[in-house]
Amino acid sequence: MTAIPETVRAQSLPAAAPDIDRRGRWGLLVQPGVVVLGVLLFLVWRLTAHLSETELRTLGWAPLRDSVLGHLWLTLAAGLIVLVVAIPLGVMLTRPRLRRLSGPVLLLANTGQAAPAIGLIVLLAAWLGFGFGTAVLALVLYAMLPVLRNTVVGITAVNPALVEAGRGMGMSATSVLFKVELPLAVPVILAGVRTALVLLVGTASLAVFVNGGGLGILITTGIALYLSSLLISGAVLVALLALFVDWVGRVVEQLARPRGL
Amino acid sequence: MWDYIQTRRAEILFLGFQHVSLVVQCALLATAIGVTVAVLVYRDGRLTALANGLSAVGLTIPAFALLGLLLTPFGFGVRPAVVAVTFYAALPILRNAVVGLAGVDASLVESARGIGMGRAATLLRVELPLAWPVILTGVRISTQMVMGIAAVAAYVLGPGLGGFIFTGLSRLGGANALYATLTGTIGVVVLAVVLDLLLVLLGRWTIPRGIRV
Amino acid sequence: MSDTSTERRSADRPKATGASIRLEHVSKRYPAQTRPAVGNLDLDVPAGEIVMLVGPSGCGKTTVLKMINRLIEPTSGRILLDGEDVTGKDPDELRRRIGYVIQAGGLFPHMTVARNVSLVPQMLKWPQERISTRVDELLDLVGLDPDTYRDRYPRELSGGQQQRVGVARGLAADPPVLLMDEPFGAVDPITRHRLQDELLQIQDELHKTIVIVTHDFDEALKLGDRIVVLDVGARVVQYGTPEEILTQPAEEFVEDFIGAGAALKQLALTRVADLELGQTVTARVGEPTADVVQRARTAGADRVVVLDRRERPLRWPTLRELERSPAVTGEVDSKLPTVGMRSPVNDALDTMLVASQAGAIVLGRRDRYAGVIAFETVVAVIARTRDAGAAS
Repeated sequence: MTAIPETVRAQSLPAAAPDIDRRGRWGLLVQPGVVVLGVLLFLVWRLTAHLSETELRTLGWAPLRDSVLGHLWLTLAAGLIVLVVAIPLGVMLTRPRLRRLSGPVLLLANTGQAAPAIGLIVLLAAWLGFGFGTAVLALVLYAMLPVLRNTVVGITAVNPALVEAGRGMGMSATSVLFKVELPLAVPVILAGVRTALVLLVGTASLAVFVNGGGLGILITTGIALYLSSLLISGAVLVALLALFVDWVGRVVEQLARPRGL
Repeated sequence: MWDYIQTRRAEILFLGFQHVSLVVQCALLATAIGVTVAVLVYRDGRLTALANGLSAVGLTIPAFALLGLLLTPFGFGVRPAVVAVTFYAALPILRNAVVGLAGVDASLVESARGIGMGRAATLLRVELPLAWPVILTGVRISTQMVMGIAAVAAYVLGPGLGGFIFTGLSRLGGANALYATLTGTIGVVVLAVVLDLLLVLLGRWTIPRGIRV
Repeated sequence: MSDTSTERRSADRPKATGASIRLEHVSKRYPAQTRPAVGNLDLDVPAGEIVMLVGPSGCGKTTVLKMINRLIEPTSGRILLDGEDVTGKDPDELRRRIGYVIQAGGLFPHMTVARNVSLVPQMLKWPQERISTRVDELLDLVGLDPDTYRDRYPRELSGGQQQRVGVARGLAADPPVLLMDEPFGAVDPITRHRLQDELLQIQDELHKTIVIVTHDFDEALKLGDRIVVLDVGARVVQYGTPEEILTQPAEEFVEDFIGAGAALKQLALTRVADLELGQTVTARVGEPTADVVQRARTAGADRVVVLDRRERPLRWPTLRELERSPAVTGEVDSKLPTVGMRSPVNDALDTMLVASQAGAIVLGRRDRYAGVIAFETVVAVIARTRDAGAAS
């Protein structure tokens, strides 16, 4: 069982690496271009296509707007809760008193991550009933890990000499946390937040199974009625939204990166 | 719960086997694809950037959406499941393989060339073995991720334990709905943990002592 | 132990196994650069000699070296190995005939020492049995006990040991030519001196043609039969023996490169082998201490050199230290001051000063004990050289 901490570390690496990497600023420009182009193409298609009665029931402007907004709401609500819960929890796990727990907690979270999102959603629905709240809770549980993990990894990776230097200057543990550790861990934490948000956009399309709303309705209806117009619209819109959220995350990462890093 | 499992033991074992079989075969295929593509691109900075970009973008596409998209060309059943699972599995492997190959010390490559190893021998005997630990980490990330994706694939009638979850969903409120969902969900978690452990063992077995962490 | 016949190596060396290297009008241009990296270079490396390429960084010395085994393809010109034009040969085949050693050895971390060393013989399809014999033989040659080190991985070795394995790998298929790129740049000064001594011992046995790139002029003086001083574009400023370069620097450039204290650098040209070696009492591991002490007292020695089975010195204890145990023990003094026969006198001085000892043990081939050299002897040589330098 000595392999377990290694598992945690190994799995945390790819997510932990804030990967502005080689795509750099070039990628930061191309990505929104792709998104805008995709949205435009979709709008052109939507305006010119002759849609049947059935198709209009989900692809009509009003239902479509509801689905998009619903999807955004799911993502944002879950995302916000994840931030408020996971970052403080992650910080707590790096404090001397709880540091010993960080290994087991991350291990548990990692194992939990292997649970299929769809299973989680359905289980919660069996317990709490259908609806938006259930969907959000499932999403929160699901997106917790990347943020938690990157917060712990980011703070742990801060050079201990810097922490010592801070304490040596007479800073309190709290001010070292806020003035040294957290600022230095920001890029890693933000990378985790971005990963979580992208994951949320994708997983939110499963909310439809528990009547949680969102763009998933286009896909399930499309599959059920074998209407590829709905199916493709849903898939494309979710993918575009995910790319958009990913892009926003990258921009924020660039801007929030402490200068000198 | 126990009764539920007892009475459906054969079915659970069969679907569990299907699930693992789907994931393992797709992971093998994805490893072959990911490593091959990585070998083709890693020497060229721009191609590397392109591959990394595509793999990052690919990972943002929601699995459920891709499965939907695949229905049009592939229909229901095993085929869209295989394509989707392989697609997602290939991305982290590709990314890690590129990182691993690019991370091989240039002086070692030159050393290999300098003692008369050809391009292919250098790749097979020096670069790939040295990149292997990183590639294997990619394989582990991939398999963990696609265990869940394979569960969603049951919605388009793909094979595996996801079937229990959707059965549970369709009968929610009914007698065994919760048990079915639990069986599917926990089954996937257990299989994922076991598979990961096996991959760790594979690492122990295939990574030479000289470069083990 | 020493006599004047071994004074200069190149003079009357037995048959060389090395091959001559000849570069004719060789140049290398890179597309984006106006000035050639190497412009129209002619160079003759005689068989069986060590030739050092020295020059400021960016002068193209490494490019020259890598063109010999065609890791870098020359833009024009010919390269001849033992008179045979190899410019059109298959580069991989060619490289298997040329040993190549880089800084820190360039060992493959995922292969054991034995696998690393056996790579080239394997590619040449030697029978397995011959390969294993060869590996042991080579490890022994570079001073590593085969049984201990054969199955180790590079990271389980010290920097100096890795470098030794690198040399063994370079020599594995018994190539006539050995190319070395800053081979001893990555180790500490003491280890570097040891490795240089060992290379000279090995060369004493093998007589390969060795081309070494270095930026360390002292290393060039110590190792080289000849030195090529290069300027930007691999222009040969001077090509000559260390003596010639020190006493008749061709241009100001060479003088600058030699730096101040040319007279003192002459010390580098006097080898330990040129001096009078002393002999002292030696002891074997396991011998009864009483016998050794008696032998030492008879000879009037207050210290003895303890040797291992292969006659390699382990430590140099005083009689009192020795008497602490009834039989001579085999522990190793890692700070033992040793110099090679070919070491320059200034190295010997360094070694003694670093170890705070008034003498050093001199090693012959395969690190075997050859004698001792006293501080006074070295100081006398220094005084003589200084006076000669002042007079000239």
